[in-house]
Amino acid sequence: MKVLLIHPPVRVDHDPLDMPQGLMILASIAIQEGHQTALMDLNSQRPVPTWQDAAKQMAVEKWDIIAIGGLSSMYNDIVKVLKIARKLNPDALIVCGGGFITYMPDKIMKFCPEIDIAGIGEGEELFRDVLRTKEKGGNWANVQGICYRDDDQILFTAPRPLIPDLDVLPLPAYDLVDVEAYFKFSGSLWTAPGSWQSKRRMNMVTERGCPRQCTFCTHNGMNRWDQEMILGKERVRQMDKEVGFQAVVRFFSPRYVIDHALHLYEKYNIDYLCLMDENNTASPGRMHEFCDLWIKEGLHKKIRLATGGDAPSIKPDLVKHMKEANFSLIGIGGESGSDRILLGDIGKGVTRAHNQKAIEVLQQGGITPSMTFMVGNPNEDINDVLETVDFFIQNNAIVDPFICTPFPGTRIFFDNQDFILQQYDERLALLEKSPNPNISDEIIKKWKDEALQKFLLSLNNATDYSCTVSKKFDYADLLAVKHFMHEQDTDKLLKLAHMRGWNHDKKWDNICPVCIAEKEVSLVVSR
Amino acid sequence: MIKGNFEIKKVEQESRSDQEKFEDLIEKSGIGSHMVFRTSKNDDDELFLDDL
Repeated sequence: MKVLLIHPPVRVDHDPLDMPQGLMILASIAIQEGHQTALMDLNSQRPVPTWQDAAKQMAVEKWDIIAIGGLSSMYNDIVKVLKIARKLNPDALIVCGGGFITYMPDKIMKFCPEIDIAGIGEGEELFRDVLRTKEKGGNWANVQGICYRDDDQILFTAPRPLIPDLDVLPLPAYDLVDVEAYFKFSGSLWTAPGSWQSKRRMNMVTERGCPRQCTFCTHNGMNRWDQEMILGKERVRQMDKEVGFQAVVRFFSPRYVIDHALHLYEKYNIDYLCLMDENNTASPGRMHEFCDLWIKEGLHKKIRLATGGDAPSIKPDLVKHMKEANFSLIGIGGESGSDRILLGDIGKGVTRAHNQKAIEVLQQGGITPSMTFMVGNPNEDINDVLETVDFFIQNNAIVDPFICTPFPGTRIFFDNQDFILQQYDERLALLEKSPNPNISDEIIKKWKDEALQKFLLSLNNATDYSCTVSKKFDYADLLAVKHFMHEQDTDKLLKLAHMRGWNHDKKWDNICPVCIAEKEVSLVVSR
Repeated sequence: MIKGNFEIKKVEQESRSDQEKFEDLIEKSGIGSHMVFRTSKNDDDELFLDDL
């Protein structure tokens, strides 16, 4: 069969940072299965190709299977790619997977009639099954972990367990990507010594899932927390008994990762490798083993490294070893300077003290720490915001926080669905304030579906506003607060608190221009 | 834009006019406080579906 995998554009206002590793592994699987396989990467160039150019290129072959993957933030462009793909290939089987479709596959298939099959969660073995089933005529009911169409119905099959040993997966099909095009943007990632100077940077994913359960995060259906969100705890416990424990985090073995890196060094002469993992220090034993092997192979003299880590696991002995292996940067989700938000709204299980300690240990060990922060968690108020700005100031750091965005699949998405949809349909917002029994459930359901589509189309990078789950700030407040956090302008934040009637804690009185003025004026009057 | 494990005819991307390059630049970098006409494209024609 002729198989086409399509990578839609990602964040077109930024340089392209990552090759589509997931699709590249699927391409390897299609090749293993003996198919003529191609990958259309619409993200490697800036500016991205026009849709007209993409359509002309797609039209040179008749494809039997077209696979499209992506995150929720890419939905807007995925919808466009789907329209072109179906128009050009009316008989092709169109399969979609990835974060954008994993958490509500039936809804997305309803919104996008071009999709024949939705893959839920981990895609590799699923895609192999889809290819084999298509060749045998398409009895989809036996393929685990998909949604498929049967006449007018959209049906779910039995859930697919996680792959127990990731080392069975083939390497991504680098030959099917314009690697040199990505090298042009090598210096675009992260501002640390080494990364911005790199000329031949590549990224790699060596971890799936994370032991932490942050309310704003998802793992594209590839760990236990996500399975519980999709299937419910009872069903996942049943899978534990039937097919083995469904893990919160799985790693490729250090040997697999190093063989992968050696391949990249020998074939592409890479000088920098970002291990784009959610929490690569969460298993210190594995990281020590990785560093030992990396040094033993002599790769520490050839390639600099970066990865994502976890504040409580950043210890001096681990940092020393990682420095010896030539790590130059560790990215950490700092999220907030307020323990109330870190432990409450976000449920990260990490405190401000953990984050502070991690920064100090990394700096003392000669590795650059890089932390990201956010604003707009449900119960985050002006005092939490001021705590976060205080953290920036104490660390002499510049940070433009993300807006806490309820991407599909996150706990904050599931907990705030009605509130989210009300932001996209004023009729729903009005009904929330004044319920009207004359409006049928069917009509409300239709309005909710329309609002959900608008929400999905609005999602972008969380540096931009799409919608909020904040109970404290409206969107105008949120944009202003984000801006003044970036500026570290505590004067304006505290004045805004007085303008809006937000009570700030007494601890800020001595830096609040309004409180200082009130005190001085009252002193003058009392004299 | 496309690569495969078999020979695929490569279609040259159409060269862009200065106006289109300029619009791409605006899309990417923003324009400050001066008024700039953002696009000459008609949204309805964006995907050129009727031409396919």
